[in-house]
Amino acid sequence: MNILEVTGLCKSYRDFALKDITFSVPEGCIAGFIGVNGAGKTTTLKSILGLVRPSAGQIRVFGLDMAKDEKEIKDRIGVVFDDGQFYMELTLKEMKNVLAAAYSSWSESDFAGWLDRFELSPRQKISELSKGMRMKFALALALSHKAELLLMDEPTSGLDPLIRAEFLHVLTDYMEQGGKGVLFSTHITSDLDKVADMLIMIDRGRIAFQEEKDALMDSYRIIKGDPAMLSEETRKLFLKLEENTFGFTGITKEADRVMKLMPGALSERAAVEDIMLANLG
Amino acid sequence: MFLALIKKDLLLIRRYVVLLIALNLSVPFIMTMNTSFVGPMGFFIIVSATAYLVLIATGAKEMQYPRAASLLCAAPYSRGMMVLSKYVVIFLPYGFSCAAFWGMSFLKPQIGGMTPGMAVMGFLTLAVAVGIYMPLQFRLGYEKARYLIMAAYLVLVCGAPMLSTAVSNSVKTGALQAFSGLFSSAAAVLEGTAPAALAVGLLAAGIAALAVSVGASVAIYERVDLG
Repeated sequence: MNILEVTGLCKSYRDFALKDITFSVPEGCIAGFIGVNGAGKTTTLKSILGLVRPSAGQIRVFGLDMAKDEKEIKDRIGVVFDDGQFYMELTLKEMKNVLAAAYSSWSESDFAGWLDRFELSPRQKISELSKGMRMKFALALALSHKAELLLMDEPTSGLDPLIRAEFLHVLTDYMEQGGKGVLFSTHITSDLDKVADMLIMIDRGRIAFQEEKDALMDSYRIIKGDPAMLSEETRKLFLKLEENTFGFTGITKEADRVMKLMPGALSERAAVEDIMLANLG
Repeated sequence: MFLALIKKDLLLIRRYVVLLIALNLSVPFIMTMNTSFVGPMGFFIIVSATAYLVLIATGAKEMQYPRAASLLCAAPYSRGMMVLSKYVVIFLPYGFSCAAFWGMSFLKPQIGGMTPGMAVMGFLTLAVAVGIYMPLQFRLGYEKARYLIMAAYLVLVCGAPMLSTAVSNSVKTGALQAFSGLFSSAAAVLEGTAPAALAVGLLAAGIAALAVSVGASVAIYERVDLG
Protein backbone atom coordinates (compact mmCIF):
# COMPACT_ATOMS: atom_id res chain seq x y z
CA MET A 1 0.00 0.00 0.00
CA ASN A 2 1.24 3.47 -0.89
CA ILE A 3 1.38 5.88 2.02
CA LEU A 4 1.93 8.83 -0.36
CA GLU A 5 0.90 9.17 -3.99
CA VAL A 6 1.66 12.23 -6.10
CA THR A 7 0.10 12.25 -9.56
CA GLY A 8 0.55 14.79 -12.35
CA LEU A 9 1.68 17.58 -10.04
CA CYS A 10 2.36 20.85 -11.86
CA LYS A 11 3.35 24.23 -10.51
CA SER A 12 4.65 27.14 -12.55
CA TYR A 13 6.71 30.12 -11.52
CA ARG A 14 8.14 32.81 -13.76
CA ASP A 15 11.47 31.03 -14.23
CA PHE A 16 10.80 27.51 -12.96
CA ALA A 17 8.12 24.86 -13.22
CA LEU A 18 7.29 21.46 -11.80
CA LYS A 19 6.09 19.38 -14.71
CA ASP A 20 3.88 16.35 -14.30
CA ILE A 21 5.48 15.11 -11.09
CA THR A 22 4.33 11.56 -10.39
CA PHE A 23 5.74 9.24 -7.75
CA SER A 24 4.68 7.21 -4.75
CA VAL A 25 6.09 6.15 -1.39
CA PRO A 26 5.02 2.71 -0.15
CA GLU A 27 4.38 1.99 3.52
CA GLY A 28 7.50 0.82 5.34
CA CYS A 29 9.80 2.70 2.99
CA ILE A 30 12.35 5.47 3.44
CA ALA A 31 12.32 7.26 0.12
CA GLY A 32 15.21 9.57 -0.70
CA PHE A 33 14.17 12.53 -2.81
CA ILE A 34 17.31 13.63 -4.59
CA GLY A 35 18.26 16.36 -6.99
CA VAL A 36 20.64 19.27 -7.23
CA ASN A 37 19.81 22.64 -5.68
CA GLY A 38 16.93 24.25 -7.55
CA ALA A 39 15.74 20.97 -9.07
CA GLY A 40 12.32 21.29 -7.42
CA LYS A 41 12.60 19.18 -4.26
CA THR A 42 11.38 21.84 -1.85
CA THR A 43 8.59 23.02 -4.16
CA THR A 44 7.38 19.44 -4.49
CA LEU A 45 7.38 18.91 -0.73
CA LYS A 46 5.63 22.23 -0.16
CA SER A 47 3.03 21.31 -2.77
CA ILE A 48 2.42 18.02 -0.99
CA LEU A 49 1.84 19.95 2.24
CA GLY A 50 -0.39 22.54 0.56
CA LEU A 51 2.03 25.34 1.35
CA VAL A 52 2.22 26.22 -2.31
CA ARG A 53 -0.86 25.72 -4.46
CA PRO A 54 -0.24 23.38 -7.41
CA SER A 55 -1.76 24.35 -10.75
CA ALA A 56 -2.61 20.71 -11.46
CA GLY A 57 -2.26 17.25 -10.01
CA GLN A 58 -3.49 15.12 -7.17
CA ILE A 59 -1.91 14.31 -3.81
CA ARG A 60 -3.14 11.33 -1.83
CA VAL A 61 -1.78 10.52 1.60
CA PHE A 62 -2.93 7.44 3.57
CA GLY A 63 -5.42 6.94 0.72
CA LEU A 64 -7.03 10.33 1.46
CA ASP A 65 -7.23 13.27 -0.92
CA MET A 66 -5.19 16.23 0.30
CA ALA A 67 -7.62 18.65 -1.33
CA LYS A 68 -10.51 17.28 0.75
CA ASP A 69 -8.97 15.90 3.92
CA GLU A 70 -6.10 18.32 4.51
CA LYS A 71 -6.58 18.62 8.27
CA GLU A 72 -6.79 14.88 8.91
CA ILE A 73 -3.78 14.19 6.71
CA LYS A 74 -1.65 16.89 8.35
CA ASP A 75 -2.59 15.51 11.75
CA ARG A 76 -0.81 12.29 10.75
CA ILE A 77 2.28 13.84 9.10
CA GLY A 78 5.49 14.91 10.78
CA VAL A 79 7.41 17.68 9.07
CA VAL A 80 11.04 18.68 9.31
CA PHE A 81 12.22 21.70 7.32
CA ASP A 82 15.84 22.47 6.54
CA ASP A 83 16.31 25.20 9.14
CA GLY A 84 13.44 24.30 11.42
CA GLN A 85 11.47 27.42 10.43
CA PHE A 86 10.76 28.37 14.02
CA TYR A 87 10.01 31.63 15.80
CA MET A 88 13.54 31.90 17.05
CA GLU A 89 12.86 34.06 20.10
CA LEU A 90 10.49 31.53 21.65
CA THR A 91 11.75 28.87 23.99
CA LEU A 92 11.52 25.22 23.01
CA LYS A 93 8.57 24.79 25.35
CA GLU A 94 6.73 27.82 23.95
CA MET A 95 7.23 26.66 20.36
CA LYS A 96 6.17 23.16 21.32
CA ASN A 97 2.98 24.52 22.92
CA VAL A 98 2.05 26.30 19.70
CA LEU A 99 2.44 23.16 17.60
CA ALA A 100 1.24 20.58 20.12
CA ALA A 101 -2.17 22.26 20.33
CA ALA A 102 -2.74 21.51 16.65
CA TYR A 103 -2.27 17.73 16.85
CA SER A 104 -4.93 15.36 18.16
CA SER A 105 -2.42 12.68 19.19
CA TRP A 106 0.26 14.83 20.74
CA SER A 107 2.24 12.92 23.39
CA GLU A 108 3.97 14.97 26.07
CA SER A 109 5.84 11.90 27.29
CA ASP A 110 7.16 11.18 23.79
CA PHE A 111 8.29 14.78 23.47
CA ALA A 112 9.98 14.76 26.86
CA GLY A 113 11.68 11.49 25.88
CA TRP A 114 13.03 12.97 22.66
CA LEU A 115 14.29 16.12 24.40
CA ASP A 116 16.01 13.91 26.92
CA ARG A 117 17.59 11.77 24.23
CA PHE A 118 18.77 14.84 22.32
CA GLU A 119 19.92 16.59 25.52
CA LEU A 120 17.75 19.64 24.91
CA SER A 121 16.24 21.79 27.63
CA PRO A 122 12.66 23.05 27.13
CA ARG A 123 13.67 26.35 28.73
CA GLN A 124 16.30 27.12 26.10
CA LYS A 125 15.58 29.79 23.52
CA ILE A 126 15.55 28.45 19.96
CA SER A 127 17.87 31.26 18.88
CA GLU A 128 20.48 29.90 21.29
CA LEU A 129 20.52 26.47 19.66
CA SER A 130 23.09 25.39 17.12
CA LYS A 131 21.83 24.25 13.72
CA GLY A 132 22.25 20.62 14.74
CA MET A 133 20.28 21.15 17.94
CA ARG A 134 17.55 22.98 16.02
CA MET A 135 17.22 20.02 13.69
CA LYS A 136 17.02 17.66 16.66
CA PHE A 137 14.26 19.85 18.10
CA ALA A 138 12.45 19.78 14.74
CA LEU A 139 12.72 16.00 14.72
CA ALA A 140 11.44 15.80 18.31
CA LEU A 141 8.39 17.85 17.32
CA ALA A 142 7.78 15.73 14.23
CA LEU A 143 8.01 12.47 16.17
CA SER A 144 5.86 13.40 19.17
CA HIS A 145 2.39 13.13 17.67
CA LYS A 146 2.37 9.55 16.38
CA ALA A 147 3.09 10.68 12.81
CA GLU A 148 2.73 7.93 10.22
CA LEU A 149 4.58 9.80 7.49
CA LEU A 150 7.64 11.98 7.88
CA LEU A 151 8.28 14.63 5.25
CA MET A 152 11.73 16.11 5.58
CA ASP A 153 13.28 18.84 3.48
CA GLU A 154 17.08 18.76 3.54
CA PRO A 155 17.13 17.85 7.24
CA THR A 156 20.81 16.93 7.29
CA SER A 157 22.28 19.79 5.25
CA GLY A 158 24.83 21.76 7.24
CA LEU A 159 25.05 19.16 10.02
CA ASP A 160 28.27 17.52 11.14
CA PRO A 161 28.74 13.78 10.46
CA LEU A 162 28.05 12.82 14.10
CA ILE A 163 24.67 14.54 14.23
CA ARG A 164 23.81 13.24 10.75
CA ALA A 165 24.57 9.70 11.89
CA GLU A 166 22.36 10.17 14.97
CA PHE A 167 19.62 11.60 12.76
CA LEU A 168 19.73 8.57 10.47
CA HIS A 169 19.70 6.27 13.48
CA VAL A 170 16.51 7.91 14.73
CA LEU A 171 14.94 7.39 11.31
CA THR A 172 15.81 3.70 11.38
CA ASP A 173 14.26 3.39 14.87
CA TYR A 174 11.16 5.18 13.66
CA MET A 175 10.71 2.80 10.76
CA GLU A 176 11.06 -0.22 13.03
CA GLN A 177 7.72 0.71 14.66
CA GLY A 178 6.03 -0.44 11.44
CA GLY A 179 3.33 1.17 9.29
CA LYS A 180 5.38 4.29 8.71
CA GLY A 181 6.90 6.04 5.72
CA VAL A 182 9.54 8.72 5.14
CA LEU A 183 10.15 11.07 2.24
CA PHE A 184 13.55 12.63 2.75
CA SER A 185 14.80 15.28 0.36
CA THR A 186 18.53 15.85 0.25
CA HIS A 187 21.46 16.58 -1.94
CA ILE A 188 23.80 14.83 0.54
CA THR A 189 23.41 11.48 -1.11
CA SER A 190 25.76 9.61 1.22
CA ASP A 191 23.00 9.72 3.85
CA LEU A 192 20.72 7.87 1.48
CA ASP A 193 23.36 5.23 0.78
CA LYS A 194 22.90 4.29 4.43
CA VAL A 195 19.16 4.41 5.05
CA ALA A 196 17.06 4.77 1.90
CA ASP A 197 14.97 1.94 0.49
CA MET A 198 13.93 3.86 -2.58
CA LEU A 199 15.29 6.77 -4.55
CA ILE A 200 13.29 9.36 -6.44
CA MET A 201 15.25 11.84 -8.50
CA ILE A 202 13.98 15.19 -9.69
CA ASP A 203 15.82 17.23 -12.28
CA ARG A 204 14.74 20.61 -13.64
CA GLY A 205 11.22 20.13 -12.35
CA ARG A 206 10.72 16.64 -13.78
CA ILE A 207 11.02 13.20 -12.20
CA ALA A 208 14.10 11.55 -13.69
CA PHE A 209 13.53 8.17 -12.03
CA GLN A 210 11.93 6.34 -9.13
CA GLU A 211 13.47 2.99 -8.25
CA GLU A 212 14.30 0.77 -5.33
CA LYS A 213 17.76 1.73 -4.17
CA ASP A 214 19.36 -1.71 -4.35
CA ALA A 215 18.02 -2.38 -7.85
CA LEU A 216 19.15 1.06 -8.93
CA MET A 217 22.62 0.62 -7.47
CA ASP A 218 22.93 -2.74 -9.20
CA SER A 219 21.96 -1.32 -12.56
CA TYR A 220 24.71 1.31 -12.69
CA ARG A 221 28.47 0.69 -12.71
CA ILE A 222 31.48 2.96 -12.67
CA ILE A 223 33.99 1.89 -15.32
CA LYS A 224 37.62 3.02 -15.20
CA GLY A 225 40.33 2.35 -17.73
CA ASP A 226 42.86 3.58 -20.22
CA PRO A 227 41.56 6.18 -22.71
CA ALA A 228 42.93 3.98 -25.52
CA MET A 229 40.17 1.46 -24.71
CA LEU A 230 37.48 3.95 -25.72
CA SER A 231 35.96 3.76 -29.18
CA GLU A 232 33.00 5.42 -30.89
CA GLU A 233 30.88 2.40 -29.98
CA THR A 234 31.89 2.22 -26.28
CA ARG A 235 31.55 5.97 -25.73
CA LYS A 236 27.84 5.73 -26.54
CA LEU A 237 27.35 3.22 -23.73
CA PHE A 238 28.26 5.75 -21.04
CA LEU A 239 25.81 8.16 -19.47
CA LYS A 240 28.68 10.35 -18.33
CA LEU A 241 32.33 10.10 -19.23
CA GLU A 242 35.35 11.98 -17.94
CA GLU A 243 38.73 11.62 -19.61
CA ASN A 244 42.22 12.84 -19.02
CA THR A 245 45.68 11.70 -20.16
CA PHE A 246 45.94 9.14 -17.36
CA GLY A 247 42.62 7.42 -17.77
CA PHE A 248 38.85 7.67 -18.05
CA THR A 249 35.99 7.27 -15.59
CA GLY A 250 32.49 6.68 -16.86
CA ILE A 251 29.13 5.57 -15.54
CA THR A 252 26.97 3.14 -17.48
CA LYS A 253 23.78 1.11 -17.23
CA GLU A 254 25.20 -1.43 -19.67
CA ALA A 255 28.15 -2.71 -17.69
CA ASP A 256 28.09 -6.25 -19.17
CA ARG A 257 28.34 -4.93 -22.71
CA VAL A 258 31.03 -2.42 -21.79
CA MET A 259 33.12 -5.08 -20.03
CA LYS A 260 32.84 -7.39 -23.04
CA LEU A 261 34.10 -4.62 -25.29
CA MET A 262 36.76 -3.49 -22.78
CA PRO A 263 37.88 -6.61 -20.89
CA GLY A 264 40.78 -4.82 -19.19
CA ALA A 265 38.64 -2.05 -17.68
CA LEU A 266 37.88 -1.81 -13.98
CA SER A 267 34.24 -2.02 -12.86
CA GLU A 268 33.09 -0.53 -9.52
CA ARG A 269 29.80 -0.11 -7.72
CA ALA A 270 28.32 3.35 -8.28
CA ALA A 271 27.33 5.59 -5.37
CA VAL A 272 24.00 7.43 -5.24
CA GLU A 273 25.82 10.65 -6.05
CA ASP A 274 27.32 9.13 -9.23
CA ILE A 275 23.88 8.00 -10.33
CA MET A 276 22.38 11.39 -9.60
CA LEU A 277 25.06 13.21 -11.56
CA ALA A 278 24.72 10.76 -14.46
CA ASN A 279 21.02 11.54 -14.73
CA LEU A 280 21.27 15.33 -14.80
CA GLY A 281 19.77 16.73 -17.97
CA MET B 1 -5.91 25.15 19.19
CA PHE B 2 -7.00 28.69 18.30
CA LEU B 3 -5.87 30.01 21.67
CA ALA B 4 -2.38 28.62 21.04
CA LEU B 5 -2.07 30.86 17.97
CA ILE B 6 -3.18 33.91 19.93
CA LYS B 7 -0.81 33.06 22.73
CA LYS B 8 2.01 32.67 20.22
CA ASP B 9 1.46 36.21 18.89
CA LEU B 10 1.26 37.63 22.40
CA LEU B 11 4.50 35.87 23.30
CA LEU B 12 6.19 37.29 20.23
CA ILE B 13 5.16 40.85 21.11
CA ARG B 14 5.67 40.48 24.86
CA ARG B 15 8.36 43.15 24.85
CA TYR B 16 5.80 45.63 23.56
CA VAL B 17 3.18 44.63 26.13
CA VAL B 18 4.91 46.64 28.86
CA LEU B 19 5.01 49.61 26.52
CA LEU B 20 1.32 49.20 25.73
CA ILE B 21 0.37 49.02 29.39
CA ALA B 22 2.51 52.08 30.16
CA LEU B 23 0.94 53.95 27.23
CA ASN B 24 -2.59 53.17 28.36
CA LEU B 25 -1.93 54.10 31.96
CA SER B 26 0.18 57.22 31.47
CA VAL B 27 -1.16 58.95 28.38
CA PRO B 28 -4.62 59.77 29.88
CA PHE B 29 -2.85 61.65 32.69
CA ILE B 30 -0.58 63.48 30.28
CA MET B 31 -3.56 64.46 28.17
CA THR B 32 -5.25 66.27 31.04
CA MET B 33 -2.57 68.94 30.62
CA ASN B 34 -4.31 69.95 27.40
CA THR B 35 -8.08 70.13 27.74
CA SER B 36 -8.69 69.62 24.03
CA PHE B 37 -7.42 66.04 24.37
CA VAL B 38 -9.55 64.90 27.30
CA GLY B 39 -12.66 62.79 26.90
CA PRO B 40 -13.46 61.01 23.62
CA MET B 41 -10.54 62.55 21.71
CA GLY B 42 -8.05 61.25 24.27
CA PHE B 43 -9.68 57.84 24.22
CA PHE B 44 -9.51 57.58 20.42
CA ILE B 45 -5.88 58.65 20.40
CA ILE B 46 -4.98 55.95 22.95
CA VAL B 47 -7.03 53.27 21.20
CA SER B 48 -5.57 54.02 17.78
CA ALA B 49 -1.99 54.23 19.11
CA THR B 50 -2.39 50.90 20.93
CA ALA B 51 -3.88 49.16 17.90
CA TYR B 52 -1.21 50.62 15.65
CA LEU B 53 1.55 49.37 17.93
CA VAL B 54 0.09 45.86 18.07
CA LEU B 55 -0.46 45.83 14.32
CA ILE B 56 3.09 46.93 13.63
CA ALA B 57 4.60 44.61 16.23
CA THR B 58 2.78 41.46 15.06
CA GLY B 59 3.45 42.28 11.41
CA ALA B 60 7.14 42.90 12.10
CA LYS B 61 7.46 39.57 13.90
CA GLU B 62 5.93 37.67 10.99
CA MET B 63 8.29 39.48 8.67
CA GLN B 64 11.22 38.58 10.92
CA TYR B 65 10.30 34.88 10.74
CA PRO B 66 8.68 34.60 7.30
CA ARG B 67 9.02 30.83 7.10
CA ALA B 68 7.55 30.06 10.49
CA ALA B 69 4.04 30.40 9.05
CA SER B 70 4.90 27.46 6.75
CA LEU B 71 5.61 25.28 9.76
CA LEU B 72 2.26 26.18 11.30
CA CYS B 73 0.43 25.61 8.01
CA ALA B 74 2.19 22.24 7.65
CA ALA B 75 0.56 21.37 10.99
CA PRO B 76 -3.23 20.97 11.11
CA TYR B 77 -3.78 24.71 11.51
CA SER B 78 -6.01 26.05 8.77
CA ARG B 79 -5.03 29.28 7.10
CA GLY B 80 -8.41 30.73 8.06
CA MET B 81 -7.66 30.08 11.70
CA MET B 82 -4.28 31.75 11.39
CA VAL B 83 -5.84 34.84 9.79
CA LEU B 84 -8.59 35.06 12.40
CA SER B 85 -6.09 34.81 15.24
CA LYS B 86 -4.31 37.93 13.92
CA TYR B 87 -7.53 39.93 14.10
CA VAL B 88 -8.21 38.72 17.63
CA VAL B 89 -4.71 39.67 18.74
CA ILE B 90 -5.21 43.19 17.41
CA PHE B 91 -8.57 43.58 19.14
CA LEU B 92 -7.53 42.14 22.50
CA PRO B 93 -5.67 45.30 23.59
CA TYR B 94 -8.75 47.31 22.64
CA GLY B 95 -10.60 45.70 25.55
CA PHE B 96 -7.70 46.59 27.79
CA SER B 97 -7.65 50.19 26.53
CA CYS B 98 -11.37 50.58 27.32
CA ALA B 99 -10.96 49.12 30.79
CA ALA B 100 -7.84 51.18 31.51
CA PHE B 101 -9.43 54.44 30.35
CA TRP B 102 -12.56 53.71 32.35
CA GLY B 103 -10.50 52.92 35.47
CA MET B 104 -8.26 55.95 35.01
CA SER B 105 -11.24 58.29 34.64
CA PHE B 106 -12.30 57.26 38.14
CA LEU B 107 -8.88 58.05 39.53
CA LYS B 108 -8.65 61.38 37.73
CA PRO B 109 -12.05 62.75 36.70
CA GLN B 110 -10.43 65.45 34.50
CA ILE B 111 -9.68 62.67 31.99
CA GLY B 112 -13.37 62.66 31.21
CA GLY B 113 -15.81 59.82 31.58
CA MET B 114 -15.83 56.66 29.53
CA THR B 115 -19.22 56.06 27.91
CA PRO B 116 -20.51 52.98 26.04
CA GLY B 117 -20.86 55.25 23.01
CA MET B 118 -17.13 56.00 23.08
CA ALA B 119 -16.36 52.28 23.29
CA VAL B 120 -18.64 51.56 20.33
CA MET B 121 -17.28 54.42 18.24
CA GLY B 122 -13.74 53.33 19.06
CA PHE B 123 -14.58 49.81 18.00
CA LEU B 124 -16.14 50.96 14.74
CA THR B 125 -13.19 53.21 13.90
CA LEU B 126 -10.74 50.41 14.66
CA ALA B 127 -12.81 47.86 12.75
CA VAL B 128 -12.79 50.02 9.63
CA ALA B 129 -9.07 50.85 9.88
CA VAL B 130 -7.96 47.30 10.65
CA GLY B 131 -10.51 45.98 8.18
CA ILE B 132 -8.82 47.93 5.39
CA TYR B 133 -5.25 47.30 6.49
CA MET B 134 -5.26 43.55 7.16
CA PRO B 135 -6.27 42.31 3.68
CA LEU B 136 -3.65 44.67 2.27
CA GLN B 137 -1.04 43.16 4.56
CA PHE B 138 -1.98 39.61 3.57
CA ARG B 139 -1.94 40.59 -0.11
CA LEU B 140 1.16 42.79 -0.26
CA GLY B 141 3.11 41.70 2.79
CA TYR B 142 3.83 43.71 5.90
CA GLU B 143 6.45 46.02 4.44
CA LYS B 144 4.55 47.11 1.33
CA ALA B 145 1.24 47.43 3.19
CA ARG B 146 2.89 49.65 5.78
CA TYR B 147 4.38 51.90 3.09
CA LEU B 148 1.03 52.08 1.32
CA ILE B 149 -0.76 53.11 4.50
CA MET B 150 1.95 55.67 5.26
CA ALA B 151 1.62 57.05 1.73
CA ALA B 152 -2.17 57.24 2.12
CA TYR B 153 -1.72 59.00 5.45
CA LEU B 154 0.69 61.53 3.91
CA VAL B 155 -1.69 62.17 1.03
CA LEU B 156 -4.46 62.72 3.58
CA VAL B 157 -2.41 65.09 5.70
CA CYS B 158 -1.05 67.05 2.76
CA GLY B 159 -4.37 66.99 0.95
CA ALA B 160 -6.46 68.11 3.92
CA PRO B 161 -5.74 71.86 3.59
CA MET B 162 -6.48 71.74 -0.13
CA LEU B 163 -9.63 69.73 0.51
CA SER B 164 -10.68 72.19 3.20
CA THR B 165 -10.24 75.13 0.82
CA ALA B 166 -12.09 73.31 -1.93
CA VAL B 167 -14.97 72.50 0.41
CA SER B 168 -15.30 76.07 1.69
CA ASN B 169 -15.21 77.38 -1.90
CA SER B 170 -17.83 74.86 -2.90
CA VAL B 171 -20.05 75.85 -0.02
CA LYS B 172 -19.74 79.45 -1.10
CA THR B 173 -20.71 78.60 -4.65
CA GLY B 174 -23.47 76.23 -3.54
CA ALA B 175 -21.90 73.25 -5.29
CA LEU B 176 -22.06 71.16 -2.12
CA GLN B 177 -25.68 71.89 -1.38
CA ALA B 178 -26.79 68.47 -2.56
CA PHE B 179 -24.24 66.82 -0.26
CA SER B 180 -25.02 69.01 2.70
CA GLY B 181 -28.69 68.13 2.24
CA LEU B 182 -27.74 64.46 2.40
CA PHE B 183 -25.64 64.95 5.54
CA SER B 184 -28.45 66.94 7.17
CA SER B 185 -30.88 64.12 6.47
CA ALA B 186 -28.44 61.51 7.87
CA ALA B 187 -27.85 63.63 10.97
CA ALA B 188 -31.61 64.00 11.46
CA VAL B 189 -32.01 60.23 11.27
CA LEU B 190 -29.19 59.69 13.81
CA GLU B 191 -30.57 62.32 16.14
CA GLY B 192 -33.98 60.69 16.01
CA THR B 193 -32.59 57.27 16.83
CA ALA B 194 -32.43 56.07 20.43
CA PRO B 195 -28.78 56.01 21.73
CA ALA B 196 -28.92 52.28 22.53
CA ALA B 197 -30.22 51.42 19.07
CA LEU B 198 -27.55 53.63 17.52
CA ALA B 199 -24.83 51.92 19.56
CA VAL B 200 -26.08 48.49 18.52
CA GLY B 201 -26.22 49.65 14.90
CA LEU B 202 -22.66 50.98 15.01
CA LEU B 203 -21.44 47.84 16.74
CA ALA B 204 -23.13 45.73 14.07
CA ALA B 205 -21.56 47.88 11.37
CA GLY B 206 -18.12 47.35 12.94
CA ILE B 207 -18.64 43.59 13.17
CA ALA B 208 -19.89 43.51 9.57
CA ALA B 209 -16.81 45.46 8.41
CA LEU B 210 -14.57 43.02 10.24
CA ALA B 211 -16.43 40.00 8.88
CA VAL B 212 -15.95 41.27 5.32
CA SER B 213 -12.29 42.02 6.04
CA VAL B 214 -11.63 38.60 7.60
CA GLY B 215 -13.34 36.93 4.62
CA ALA B 216 -11.17 38.90 2.20
CA SER B 217 -7.98 38.20 4.19
CA VAL B 218 -8.72 34.46 4.35
CA ALA B 219 -9.45 34.35 0.61
CA ILE B 220 -6.15 36.16 -0.08
CA TYR B 221 -4.08 34.08 2.35
CA GLU B 222 -5.52 30.81 1.03
CA ARG B 223 -3.94 31.61 -2.34
CA VAL B 224 -0.57 32.74 -1.03
CA ASP B 225 2.39 30.42 -1.69
CA LEU B 226 4.26 30.13 1.59
CA GLY B 227 8.03 30.22 1.65
